[in-house]
Amino acid sequence: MMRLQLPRAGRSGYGAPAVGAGLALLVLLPLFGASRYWLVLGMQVWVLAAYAYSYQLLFGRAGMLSFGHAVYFGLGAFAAAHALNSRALAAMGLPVEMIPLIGMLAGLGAAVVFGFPSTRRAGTPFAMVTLGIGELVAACFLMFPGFFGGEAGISTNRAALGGWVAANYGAADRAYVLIALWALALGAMALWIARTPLGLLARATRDNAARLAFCGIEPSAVRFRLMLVAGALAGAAGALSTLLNEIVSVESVSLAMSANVLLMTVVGGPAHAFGPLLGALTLTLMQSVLSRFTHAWVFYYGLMFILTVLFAPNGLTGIVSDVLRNARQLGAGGMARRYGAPVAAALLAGLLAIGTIEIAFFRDEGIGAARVFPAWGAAGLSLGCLAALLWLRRSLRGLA
Amino acid sequence: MSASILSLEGVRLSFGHADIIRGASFSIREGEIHALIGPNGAGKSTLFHLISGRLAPVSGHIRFRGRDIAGARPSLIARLGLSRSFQQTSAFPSLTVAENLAIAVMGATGERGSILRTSAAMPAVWARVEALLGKIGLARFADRIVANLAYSEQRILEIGLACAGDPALILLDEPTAGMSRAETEEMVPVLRAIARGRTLVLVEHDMEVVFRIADTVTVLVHGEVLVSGPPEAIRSDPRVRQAYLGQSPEAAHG
Repeated sequence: MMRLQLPRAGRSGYGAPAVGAGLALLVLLPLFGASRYWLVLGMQVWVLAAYAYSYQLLFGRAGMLSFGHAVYFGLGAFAAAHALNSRALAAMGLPVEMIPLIGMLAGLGAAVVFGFPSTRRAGTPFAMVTLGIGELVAACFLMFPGFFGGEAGISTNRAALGGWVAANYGAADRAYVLIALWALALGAMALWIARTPLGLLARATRDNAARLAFCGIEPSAVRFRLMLVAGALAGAAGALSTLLNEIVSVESVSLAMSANVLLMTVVGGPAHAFGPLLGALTLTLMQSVLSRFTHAWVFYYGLMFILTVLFAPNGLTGIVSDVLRNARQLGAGGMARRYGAPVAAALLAGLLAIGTIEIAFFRDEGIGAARVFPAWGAAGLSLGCLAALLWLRRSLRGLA
Repeated sequence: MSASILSLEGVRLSFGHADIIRGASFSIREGEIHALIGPNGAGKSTLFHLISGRLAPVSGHIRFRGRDIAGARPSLIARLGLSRSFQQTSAFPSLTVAENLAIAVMGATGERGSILRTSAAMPAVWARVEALLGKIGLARFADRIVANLAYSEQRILEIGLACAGDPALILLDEPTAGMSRAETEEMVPVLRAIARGRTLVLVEHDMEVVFRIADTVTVLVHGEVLVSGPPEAIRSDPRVRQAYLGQSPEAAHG
């Protein structure tokens, strides 16, 4: 009897034990004496990763380009803040570990309401309706200051509720473990969904929604179900952000927050199991670490997004997978021959580009030596950058 | 004469002032192979779109097993047991052959996309898929991504998708389009095999295929039914020759 190769969602090829050990180390980061600064950064990564995993389900699997995913994240965050501040829930003995479930319910509820109009159509109409819903919810923020807290947002305290495992999660190390475990669970749920029959139908709607209808399955119903799951997961991620920041403001439902999740998912890799995690790590590092060195970090982030879309549609995880596969086949010498010239060209082009951007930036701000940096110098730098790019193009052509 | 499974009564379709289908009426008997022929632009594919729900008629009735399906949603019509293939191959290109068939089977068995088990854990679906793969001769391509299949294999998958749900009636839109003579010859027994136990309606340009396998032929010209009858009658009908610009139907599409 013939054996069917059954469908698999994400082929990591990294080896499950290694991955498990790595994730366990990440969760236990506080044990290695990480400072509060790094713990907060780590929590930021986990929260954004959970958020990106929910978006990967829509965009990576079903091709649903949503511009309003922050609606679910933000409403989950607000619900969590209200739950933390609620005397009634505290009196009922709600443990803080269950706060993400409140966010999940809020996200699910929002997806029931907003998913219905948005998932009726796919493609461009879907993108536009989600954008409209995003603006609509952001507008509600100022219309209903009672619930959303107006300009100031809503402050809360994650130690307001007791916990089951720990007495409370006020300390950063305990909060870190709670958030990391929840984020891992949410990411695992998203990856699980991708492997279920619903995940298979998601890929089918992306490929050919019309044909799915002629097979007897309503594509809008598939999109709606996916929206429910993604909304619930995003709501839980929003609740994690409340636990981390202990304040929720209009930013969490803003267009910028919707754009961030798209950027992370694309940069990390829209189809890969580690894509959202790597995307979240990249965004956090640029936002928190790179921003200490240059105010132009947003510029670089945008540039990276464009380059990824144009040249690496499978994102950073796609590049890593390619390089690892080639490394196994080619060995060290082969790798040096294959990637030596392109990497050198890319580094040179990148350095010259950064030089040009930074000098132009500092010159405009009137800072230091850049103030007197002549215009022809900048022109020379950009010419050099152009030459390096041409070299890169030539060496890449040798690869193909 | 056996009962009619699908009947069209005065079906009209127009876009603005352009009448595409001008009151088509004919019926298809249960279990027959029914060919729809006519010159280019006669409205054959449009009629398929109307029957399968992609387009809704302006007026008229389309009865499938006694139920009026004119203007119903494609997914509903498919669940009633009427499936179709497409002139342009249109499977799910980034999925494997087996996954493609699994989706068609899921549609027929009412699987609505569970989230409590993996898609591998659908034993009934995958058993059907394995049987289908054997039947249409694509077993060795089961794990091939459809986009990487050769054209003729994609055409066969197209037909496999149409019969995966074991429908009562299949609409095949030019199953031999773009195929070589030899590939077309291989297609004839496949068509006979999938017609066993069900009704087959096909749009076909290859007149040799039409006259070899059809029980009934309906000739469509300018959105109207010119004549409908057994192949011998159609072959000798002077109006049909006239419609094909004075040529015999065989000569019109070599």
